[in-house]
Amino acid sequence: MLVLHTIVFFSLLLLVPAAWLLPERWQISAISLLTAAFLLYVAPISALMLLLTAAASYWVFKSAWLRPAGAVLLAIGQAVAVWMVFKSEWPTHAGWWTQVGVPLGLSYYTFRQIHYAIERYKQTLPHHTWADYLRYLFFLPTMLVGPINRFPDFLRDVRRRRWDAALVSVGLERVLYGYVKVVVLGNALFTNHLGHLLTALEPQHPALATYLGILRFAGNAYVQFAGYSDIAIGLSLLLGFRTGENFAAPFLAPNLNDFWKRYHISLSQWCRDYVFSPLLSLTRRPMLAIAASMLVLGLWHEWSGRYLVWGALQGLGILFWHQYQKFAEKRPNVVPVLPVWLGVFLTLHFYCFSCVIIREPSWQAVAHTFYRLLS
Amino acid sequence: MYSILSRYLPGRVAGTLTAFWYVFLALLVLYYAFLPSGQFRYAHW
Repeated sequence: MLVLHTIVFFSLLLLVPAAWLLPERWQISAISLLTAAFLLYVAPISALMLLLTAAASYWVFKSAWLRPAGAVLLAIGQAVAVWMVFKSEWPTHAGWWTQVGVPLGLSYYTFRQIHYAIERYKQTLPHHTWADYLRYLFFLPTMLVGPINRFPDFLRDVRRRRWDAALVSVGLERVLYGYVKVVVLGNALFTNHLGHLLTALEPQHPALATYLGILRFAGNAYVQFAGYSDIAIGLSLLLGFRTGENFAAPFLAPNLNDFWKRYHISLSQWCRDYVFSPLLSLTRRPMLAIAASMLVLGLWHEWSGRYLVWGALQGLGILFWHQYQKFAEKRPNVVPVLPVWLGVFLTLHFYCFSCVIIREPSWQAVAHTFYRLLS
Repeated sequence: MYSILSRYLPGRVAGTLTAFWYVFLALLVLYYAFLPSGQFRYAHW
């Protein structure tokens, strides 16, 4: 496990100077080489896995034996297979890889490689080399905790990046705000202070403590993850790269559909582009495409039953909202239009309550949590 | 922060307040980062 400070100090002391002080043609390669050296030092297996899967997903398209359709299937297949081996929580999961642990950033680079394979198959990528692809994958700010940035955007920034003091200032500000979210709000406030408060509250008011604990888990996950994203975006800006936003005040979303446009935006957009849109084109059934997208979004976190159910719940929530909208439009006198505040309240609670499934270690514990809530 | 403050305040005042704001946040982070309660490790996604 890596300490956040190591990555930030490594970036500030080595990556940023290398990105601007070296001769221009060496700058991007230096970022990638330093990232590879960093990864080799802290997690050699992770570096090896990333290099192997990157090689497989790139060189399969160079094969004279395969047609493009076969190459894209093979590229996606190998990335998904590696991801499933390491991220599986099914009962059959047992083997040498359990001793190795999950390679750092696996879920992120798996989806980056799938994105690359599909776009390369569609021939939408600009001209690039094997080195460009490696530079894209070995980019420390976004490598470990996202956002799932896109290859064409990365290439565009490689070609356009120029020193800009205003951009560096914004980058430093984002890193600072990210730190505040992670260290002050996430770790100190949500995890520790609120944790102590709930422990003290539990004997007298178990239902209230359980309810607040559910809100605390979702709130903590949000501020921590939004904090990582701020730091990643800020560090990218310090290197001259503009990485897309990953959060946009999701807990103010008035419905679940909107919520998933604001929460982990890079993953939602990935699911939209590579699951929802293709399925909609193939089947012309938007409900099926939404359900499949949300299942993939859930399973991205972990290949397990609880994340499958969690993803399915998000899909059902969005489907329900779509049906409600349609019904309300058809019969405005029968079905009331929800006020925005009520929509925000219901969306927030639906999401927080669904997170009980992923918070608890077993289904018995999930049932016990809801039982305590009602007791 | 500066862009927001400079809409309502003279540039120099906005700049000074922004600098204080950053120092305050940095001290807050440093205070918590070195306490066990503020220690942070990357989640394993």
